[in-house]
Amino acid sequence: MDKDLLKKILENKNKKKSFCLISRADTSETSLVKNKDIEKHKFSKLIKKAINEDKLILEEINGKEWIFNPFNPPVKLIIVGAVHVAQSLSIIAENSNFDVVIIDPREAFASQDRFPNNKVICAWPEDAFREIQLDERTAVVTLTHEPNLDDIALKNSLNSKCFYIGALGSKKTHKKRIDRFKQDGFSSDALKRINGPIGLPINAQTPQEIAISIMAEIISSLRYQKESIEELRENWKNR
Amino acid sequence: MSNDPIENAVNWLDQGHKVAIATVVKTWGSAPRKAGSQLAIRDDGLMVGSVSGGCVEGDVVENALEIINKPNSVKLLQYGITNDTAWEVGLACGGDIKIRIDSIQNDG
Repeated sequence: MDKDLLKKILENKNKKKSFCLISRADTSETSLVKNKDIEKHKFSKLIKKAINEDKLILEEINGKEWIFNPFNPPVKLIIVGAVHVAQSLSIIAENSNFDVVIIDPREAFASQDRFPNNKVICAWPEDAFREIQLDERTAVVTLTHEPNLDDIALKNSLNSKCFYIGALGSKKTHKKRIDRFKQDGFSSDALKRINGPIGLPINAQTPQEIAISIMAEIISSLRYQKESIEELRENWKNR
Repeated sequence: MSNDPIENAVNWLDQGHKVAIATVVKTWGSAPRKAGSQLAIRDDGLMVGSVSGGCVEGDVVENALEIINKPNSVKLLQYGITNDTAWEVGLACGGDIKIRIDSIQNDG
């Protein structure tokens, strides 16, 4: 591998698009395959698998070992509600290599001073969401408790492919939310995607502890297969 | 300073250093870092990133320094509980890992 290729890797990482490095295990020859070139590549199946599973694949092909090393853009976390929990959550998420965006129309909350390292959008969710793409590598968390703020964000998330949706609020609040959303035409199955009350049940007491329980739930959604996560949550509840 | 091994490697090359990059290419059992994890190594032994929970980095750096003057060479290393070196370097977590080291050619 030479410096030019290394620079290309860095450039493509900064563009925040998926790509894959392919090399023979025992030689230094390495090539970079961009997302748009995958389809026509002779190893397209393996490249896609590596990128989709976000995991390097070592595979023997015709007696030779090949390495497929995928690079995916960082996972995004959208936090609606620039509240105390959001301050802790943004730090933990940033530290876990998430790209964090905080949204709140209330100027007193959405101040850059409160979130020195993150993008803060001081706007209503319906406006802020126009400039954010909710894809399968996005998690959305609502923390305001205010239906007029949280609901829009949650509905946008339900209509997207984002891998995690969580809403702060008690069981009672969540039940009311579910009833409201059903009246607006969302199915029970669709509404199961909202994790409410938010977070893994670690009996969190402080904003910092709540942030940890939320982050743990987001990571479990990212790393577990869908089936095993439902089982895991059942087990947690029945503990 | 960024913790990104690639970004650091490019900066080091720009500064005229020799650089190698180690990548975890396979894991078995309870390996602490998943395949794809990377460690950038500078010719003076400085490193950024990780390929294990700190168990084998020392040995990986030593191996990297052996090939760092031979640009475009690769070295495959394997650590595991069946391997004596693994114990010597402290991979007691019960996992096996295979690591590839690439020495980078600095072509200006």
